[in-house]
This record gives sequence, structure tokens and C-alpha cells, in this order.
Amino acid sequence: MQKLLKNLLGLDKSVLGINERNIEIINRYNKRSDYQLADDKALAKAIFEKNQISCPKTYGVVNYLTEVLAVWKQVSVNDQLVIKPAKGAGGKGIMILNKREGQWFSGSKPVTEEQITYHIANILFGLYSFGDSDKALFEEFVNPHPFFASIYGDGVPDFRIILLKARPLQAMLRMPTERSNGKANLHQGGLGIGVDMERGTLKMAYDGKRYHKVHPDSGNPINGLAIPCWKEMLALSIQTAKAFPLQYLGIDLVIDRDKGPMVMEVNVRPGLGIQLANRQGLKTIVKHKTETYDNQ
Amino acid sequence: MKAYRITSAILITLPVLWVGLRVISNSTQFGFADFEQHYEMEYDFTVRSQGDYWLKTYLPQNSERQTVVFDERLNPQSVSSLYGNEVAIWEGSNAGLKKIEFGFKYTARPVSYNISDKIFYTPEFDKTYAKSLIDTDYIQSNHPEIQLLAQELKSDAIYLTDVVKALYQYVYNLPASATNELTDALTTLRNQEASCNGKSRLLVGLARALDIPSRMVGGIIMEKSQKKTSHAWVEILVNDTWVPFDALNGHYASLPANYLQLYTGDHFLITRSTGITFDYQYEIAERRANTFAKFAPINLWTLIEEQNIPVNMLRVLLLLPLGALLIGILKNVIGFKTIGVFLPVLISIALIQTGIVNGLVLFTITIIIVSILNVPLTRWGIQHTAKLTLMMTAVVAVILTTVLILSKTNLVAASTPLFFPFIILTLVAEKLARTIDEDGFKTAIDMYAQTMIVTLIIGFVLNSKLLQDFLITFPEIIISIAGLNLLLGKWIGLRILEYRRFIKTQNA
Repeated sequence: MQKLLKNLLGLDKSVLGINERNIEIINRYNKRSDYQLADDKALAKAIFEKNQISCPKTYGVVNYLTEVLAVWKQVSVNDQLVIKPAKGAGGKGIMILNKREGQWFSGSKPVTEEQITYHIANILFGLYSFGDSDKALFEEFVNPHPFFASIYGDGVPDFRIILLKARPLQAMLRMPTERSNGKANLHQGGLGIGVDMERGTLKMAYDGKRYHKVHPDSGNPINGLAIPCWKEMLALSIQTAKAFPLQYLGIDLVIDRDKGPMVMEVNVRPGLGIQLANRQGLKTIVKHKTETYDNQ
Repeated sequence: MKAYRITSAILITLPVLWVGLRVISNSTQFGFADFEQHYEMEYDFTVRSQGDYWLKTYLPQNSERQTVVFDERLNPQSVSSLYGNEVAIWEGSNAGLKKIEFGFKYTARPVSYNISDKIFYTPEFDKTYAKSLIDTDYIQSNHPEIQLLAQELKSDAIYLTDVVKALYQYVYNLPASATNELTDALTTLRNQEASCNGKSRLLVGLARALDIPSRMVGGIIMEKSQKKTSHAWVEILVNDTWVPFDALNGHYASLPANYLQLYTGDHFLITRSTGITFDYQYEIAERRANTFAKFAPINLWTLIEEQNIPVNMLRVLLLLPLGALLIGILKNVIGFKTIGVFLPVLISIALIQTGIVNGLVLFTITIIIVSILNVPLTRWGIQHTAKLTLMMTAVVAVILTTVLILSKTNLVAASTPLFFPFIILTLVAEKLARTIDEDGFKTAIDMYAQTMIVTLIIGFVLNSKLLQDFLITFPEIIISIAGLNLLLGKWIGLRILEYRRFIKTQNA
């Protein structure tokens, strides 16, 4: 009981809460007029490409309803592609398409071209962007590195690295579970796995309630695994952060089995759940790292 | 010191000091009673007689519901008690013009009863209530037409609440007429229209026809006016409690605060000796104990009075900043998540007009019905904008239907759903439907529940009459609220619910 009280009282010294994140960090380090560079994935990708930051290839962008058919005709020559709302958040509105013998599949479900264009139209109408009109993005499909399949076979796991002034603070690996239905987001039932930044190894996996040493569905070990291309990923995240005028960023990366680490997107307001995945408050790290760097 | 801190300190303290100045300069001691609203009634009777005369009227009594304080001019020859009523009598033998003038201060609270639906209907034969069961000249409860109608209305109902509801509903639905004439129960039934006294007699007659004790109540509706009209309503005995009903103005098992009760039973308010000329008038004024008028930057009470500004509008206007501050605290300090930022304020202000519980139930039902519509619309692939438009139309349709259904019952005023902010209903329903679709039923219910908890908390705070009167009296206080908001906008502490969320980071 006493320990719990002590922990509760110590919490606000180590953990970064929403209020403090918004006021002391985001407000101070990110200019509002620059938000769109991160919030609009089409703009962000333009910056990636300009700075030669490794990222999935953009096959095409639809801005207006009248362009849907023409762009679709162009991009549908690819056998695998991903459709994304440019301003979507939390993985909503993402459709992953595979073509087998002339038939499109979304995951394992067959879909008609009519259903696909309907989905694109919904993106444009702002269904996934709080009613704002939006753009639809067509991207190269990323084939996950076999490292991920050695933990759990389904979905596309990604890394999230939080950086302040282009200095990596904290990272986690987000991994789907049976419950999360292929999605890797923490509040959709995915796992958040903390990352030991120095060693480049995985910590425990957090499922929103409990910590696990192994993947709860597959039983494969997680804790202590060495992350492939970790140094490369850190370097890529720093390179990306430097390309943006935004100083506090959450950068999402994936590892393609052939092309290696790639940046998927950047976030201006990265979630705070990463502290739970790492069992470590961000506030201590922010203080420690900024002081160390600033005094250099 | 940071500029925002100085600004907020000034914003918070200046109006508080100003309020202090107004309190000190306007009153010697400050209490909640300063905000009390009351009515002042002035009786004005004129009698012109050739010789002997007498005049009787019922005097209001104090009860749990109403408080009456007479002024010292009340000086009748005698006051007698009769069947629980108090009758004042003036008499004399001098010819000429006499004026009887006196007044009283009246305060009361509204009452509302919940009749349990578990009470069985049983005919009452207890002699104690004989007076409230008998057939009279004006309340012909034994007349075959009234007996027949009562039986028809009762039908095969076995619970008292269903019987009473059926009788009340029938009388309430009769058209109202403007007559001042005495109308008996049977005439009301045959004419199918009546004013307050006719409707009340018919309701009493119907109840007595089924051996349910019931009686007439006489009084005056207190409102700022000069008038001669009195009012009549009904009391029906439920579980040894006399429960009020007004089948003219639509008060089912309830009575507003401004119903001054003068007597029970089927009587005339004023009786007098024959052969005299008599005139009378009631002059009623609404008063407020203290408006702290001196040094008021804006005296809203005077404006309300002089410019006929609807006081409810002002209440809503002044409650908005306070409601928004409460939202800020509940969100940023406690950590509740709500649908939309100001949405709970708008809903809770609507709920204050409609009654919190009834309003909340209706609001939720509307939301659920409209959210369900989202299922086929999504399946058919209806575009987003068109879908919103269709859901908006559904909101209007559901609200009209609810008004229609409510008009058939008397549980809730039929106009209740009309207070809801319609566009917000649409957006909430859409957001809820989409959350169910994307994040599952549990998340959606959780989000809706948090929104409603916040709405309820704000609703209960804002519903305080004292608080509303305080804001109308001291509107400058909204500047202090702005100052508090400024501070809140720089609050960086952990939200209370975040402690629960992040406690696990400490156990490593």
C-alpha cells in the first residue's frame, strides 16, 4: 500500500502526461503551421523523396473524385498495393490489396473494383479525416522482414521512434495479435514492445493489461531479441527528423525483407502509450537527454 | 513572473473584489436568501352596503410546499377553521363604502410525485374519506353517464397508476374553454369542453365514480399581473397522500411553484351577503430579495424587467462559460474523454430545460435509433455527406415521432425533445456508429458513457437555481471564469485518470 502511494506520487516526476506533452513539448517544439507536413502523408512523402529518405514507393495520388478511375487504371498494374487516406490517423481507412489471377483481394477477402473505388471515394469525402476532404495515396506494399514472422506471422509490424531535436528518446515495436485483427495499434489490441535503445534489443511486450516475455498468440520469445538493422533504423529516424522543421516527432518505420528499413510516416502528436511499452516515463528521458545534449 | 499568470490573477481577482464591493455596499449581511425570488400578493376588496354585510374568503396556509407571510393590515373580524381550511370573515353594519386591503409574501417550491406502478387499484370505502367519495350537485359521480365513462376508461386496468392516467388523459384532452362560469362535472362531459373548474370537477367525478378519494383544490396562479381569476385543480388520494393534478394546464402528479393553494373542497373563494355591491382585484408582483443594484456594471434583473428579456435565454448565455470551464477541468484535470469539446455543455443546458433524467433517456434513445440507421447506410455504400444528411433527416423524424408519442402519455412534456440541439444529435449518432464500426461496441459505449457522465456532472452543477441567480446578479464573474480558464490552459500536471493508466511504468 505504501509502495503504491509512493509510486503514485513519483509518477508525475517520470511520466509525461497529455497536458504536459501538449503544452510543454508539442507547443514549444512544433509550429502549428508545420503540422500539415506530418499530418498529410502526401506532403510528408514528398519531403522523404526530396531528401532521399528510404520509404515505400508512391504509385499515385488521387486528389479529386474525377481522377479516381484514371489513377486507378495507372496504379492497378501493380499486383500488390496499399491505399491510404493522406490525413488518416490510427491506421484507419488503410486497404491492403493483392491481385491473384486478375482478382483483387483485401487481405483474404475478394473485392470488386467497384468496392475499391467506393473506398477511395470515401477517403476523398473525409470519412477517415474528421470530415475534412482528403487525398487517397497508393503505395508500394512492404513485405515484412522474416524477423517479424519469427515472432508472429500476420500483419505488418512497425517501429515507432520518438525524437526531440533529432535525438531519439524512446522506441517501441508495435505488433499485431489475433485480437487486433492484423492491426498493430496499441488501442486496437496490438502489442507494444519496448526497445532497449543502447543494445537494440526488444524488452517485454505489453498488451494493454499485462507484460509478456513471449507473443501471447504464437508463444514465440520476444524479450531480449536483437532487432535487425537497428543502427540503420536509428540513423534513418535522425535523418528524417532533420528533414522536417518539426522538432518533436514520432517516426514510424518498417523493415522490408529486401529493401531494409523504410520510413512510413511521421507524427506530430505521438501517443504516450510508448511509456507503458517501455515501462519507463518519457519525462525523465527528455530531461536527461536534453540537458546532456544542450550542455555539450 | 509570466505574463499569463499576471493576466489571469488580475482577471480572477478584479471581478471577485467588485462582487465584494457590491455585496458590502448593498447589504449588511450576505446570505443565500438574498437570491430568493418570491411573490407579493395584494388583495383589494371593495364593499358598498346599505347596512349589515359580511364577506368571507379563504386564507392561504403554510404547508410543506408553500410559505405565506401576511402583512399587518390583515385584520378580519374572525378567522375560523373549516375542514382544514381557514376562513376569514369581515362583517359590519355601517352603510357606505368599505375597503378591505391586505397582502402577503408567498414562496413555494414545485412538487412532483412518482406514483409507483405497483399499487393495485382498490375501491376505497373507508368512512374517513366519505367526503372525498360522495356525489354532489356539481360533482355527479353517481350519474350513469359519468359511471359509464369511468368504467370505460378504467377498462381492465388493475394498477392505480393506469386508472388515474386514463382518467387524467381523458379530461386533459378535452378542449379548454375560456368561460368563468361554474361548470359541473356532467355539463363538462356533455359539452366536451370546459375551463379549469369544469375539468377539475369532471376528473374528481370520474375518480369518485371508481371509489377513488379525490377533491377539488382552489387557489391562484401567481404571476406578475393584476387579475380576478382564480384557479382550480384536483387532488387524488394515492397511498394516503393527496397528489395534485391539473388537467387544464397539464400538470400530472405535480404542481409548479407558483400555484398558491387557498383551500381544498368544492367551494367558492369569496362568499358575501346579498344586497351589497362588491368588487375585488388581486395584484401580484414578482420580487427578488436583493439585486445588489449599487455599483452593478450591468443590472440584468432590471433589464429583464424593463426590456422583457426572456430570463431563460440569459441563464443559458451566462451558464455557457462556466459549463465550458467545468468541461476543461473534467477533461484536462480528471481526464475524461468526451465526444466533441463543448457538446456536453450544450446537452446539459438542453437537459436543464427538459429535466435531467427524462432528457437523458430520450437523448440516448434518439442517438441509438439514429445510430442503427448507419448500419444499412454503410452496407449499401452511401457516401459520407449523403449519409449525414439522411441521419439528420432521421433525427428530425425520430424527434417528431417522440413528440407524438409523448403527447399521448403524460410522463414527460411532449415538447421535451424539441430542446435538443439537433445537429449535435446527428453528429453524436454518426460518431457513435462509426466508433462501433471501427473500434468495437465496447469502446463506443465507453466513449458515450464518459460523455454522458461529464454531461450529468455539468448538468447537476448548472441546474442549481442559486448558481443561475448568482450569475444573473453578478455577471462580471464570468471574467473570473475566463481567468481560471487561462490558468487551466497552462496546467501541465498528470490527469487523474492518467495515474491509473501509467502506474504500471513504476513497477519495473
